[in-house]
Amino acid sequence: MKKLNNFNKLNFLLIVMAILVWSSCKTDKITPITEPVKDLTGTWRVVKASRNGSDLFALVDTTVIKFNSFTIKFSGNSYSLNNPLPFIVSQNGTYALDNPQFPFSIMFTQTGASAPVSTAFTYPIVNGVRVLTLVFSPGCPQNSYSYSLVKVN
Amino acid sequence: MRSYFNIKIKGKNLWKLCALFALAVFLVCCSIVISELDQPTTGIAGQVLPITAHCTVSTNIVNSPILANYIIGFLMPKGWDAGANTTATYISSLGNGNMEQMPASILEPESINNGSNLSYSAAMLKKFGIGQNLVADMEWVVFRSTQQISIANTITITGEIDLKITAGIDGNTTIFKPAYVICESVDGINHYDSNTPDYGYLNGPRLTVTGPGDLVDLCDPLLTSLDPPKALDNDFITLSYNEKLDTANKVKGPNFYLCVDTVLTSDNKVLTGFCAQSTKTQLMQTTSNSGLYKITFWPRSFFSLPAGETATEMIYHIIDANGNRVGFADTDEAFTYKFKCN
Repeated sequence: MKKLNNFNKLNFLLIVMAILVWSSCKTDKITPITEPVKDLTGTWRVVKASRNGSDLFALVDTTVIKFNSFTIKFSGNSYSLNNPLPFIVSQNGTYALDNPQFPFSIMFTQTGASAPVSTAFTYPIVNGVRVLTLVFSPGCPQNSYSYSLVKVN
Repeated sequence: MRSYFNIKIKGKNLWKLCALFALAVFLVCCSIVISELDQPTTGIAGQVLPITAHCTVSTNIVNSPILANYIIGFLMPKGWDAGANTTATYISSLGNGNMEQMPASILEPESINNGSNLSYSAAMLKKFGIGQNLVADMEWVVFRSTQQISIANTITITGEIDLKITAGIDGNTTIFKPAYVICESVDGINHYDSNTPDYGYLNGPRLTVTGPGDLVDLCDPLLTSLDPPKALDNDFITLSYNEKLDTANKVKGPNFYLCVDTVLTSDNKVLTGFCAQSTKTQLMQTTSNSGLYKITFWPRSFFSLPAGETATEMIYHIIDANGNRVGFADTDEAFTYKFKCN
């Protein structure tokens, strides 16, 4: 009889433990992460430039060709250039991304131009800083330029 | 050493045999030699330039026969667009046939092995550069046989590839040194080992094709040269001056300046006033005692061109601090550079 009581107690304890273990589990609700819209708003300056793979900073006299002074300011859907250099566009105008969240290209439309010009858009974070890299041909199509820009603080 | 992995694979020996067989399939070695080249040294722009490369191929194929295309690559000025202006045929001891331009989508086998995945043209440019030329305005044009040829082991194939290139469609007088590569499509431009290439390479003689256009010298050291060789006024242009080629000592360093006498525009204006000795026009020596001086400038800014006006040509000298001038071919005659893409 005593054995039976012990058996019942053990069963009771096991059932209580099972209930506790079961009730301690809960389903985690996974909230999908929404990819943020790529916001270019602000003023950007060139930190790296190349022509056909050669570093332009090493080639130019930066006191004459002032890469430091060239900036592009994005505001709303407009952009404006300051101290222009050879670039995908030479006049101010409007811009748009092909996809605000997952852009692959950026389109510039100069004021008065009938058609936009577009280029591949890369927007990685390098050393904790967003870098906007644009590849384009301002002169002959076989001459390829790449500018990497960061935001001016 | 004790193995910590005791994986039992069913039919282990059979798998080993299959792996060995798969490797053997790709162990191909051909010794390819361009034994003779018939190439003219002069030509006329717009006329057909006949070139014949004679070659001998000795095969050493572990698992023969293989099916492969004959391939020829030849180094040409970009301005000739030789891919579209060449017909190619072959005659060989294994049969004759036609050749077609290699599609850019076909990847060269060595570049597949090393992961760079390049077209034949790009792989040849990477491996052989621009041959014996100095100006990079050149491309490797690649043709392959339209048929695959069954190639057996330990045989010697003799044959020739005949090219008919319509020379100088850009109309320019062009001086350059062609180069040729012959290989087959299984190995591409691989090496069997460090001393045994699976291709044949030959530098051709200097070729001068005369046309009514500009003089384009791609292979001789020049007093001044421009990079990129073809550019517009909205490109950055690097002009180099080689002081060591001024054998007439017309100017004296170390301070040299770009003196642009005249700029012609698309609306037929003649602009002047760009000859000065200033930081804006000064060429800088690349390294101490190199004798090579460079300036990189943006023509639109350099010539203060307003929007809508385009420079088509600049006529210039190199001057020293005393105003002495040197021009084309170490004379007083001015250099000319045309802003164009073709």
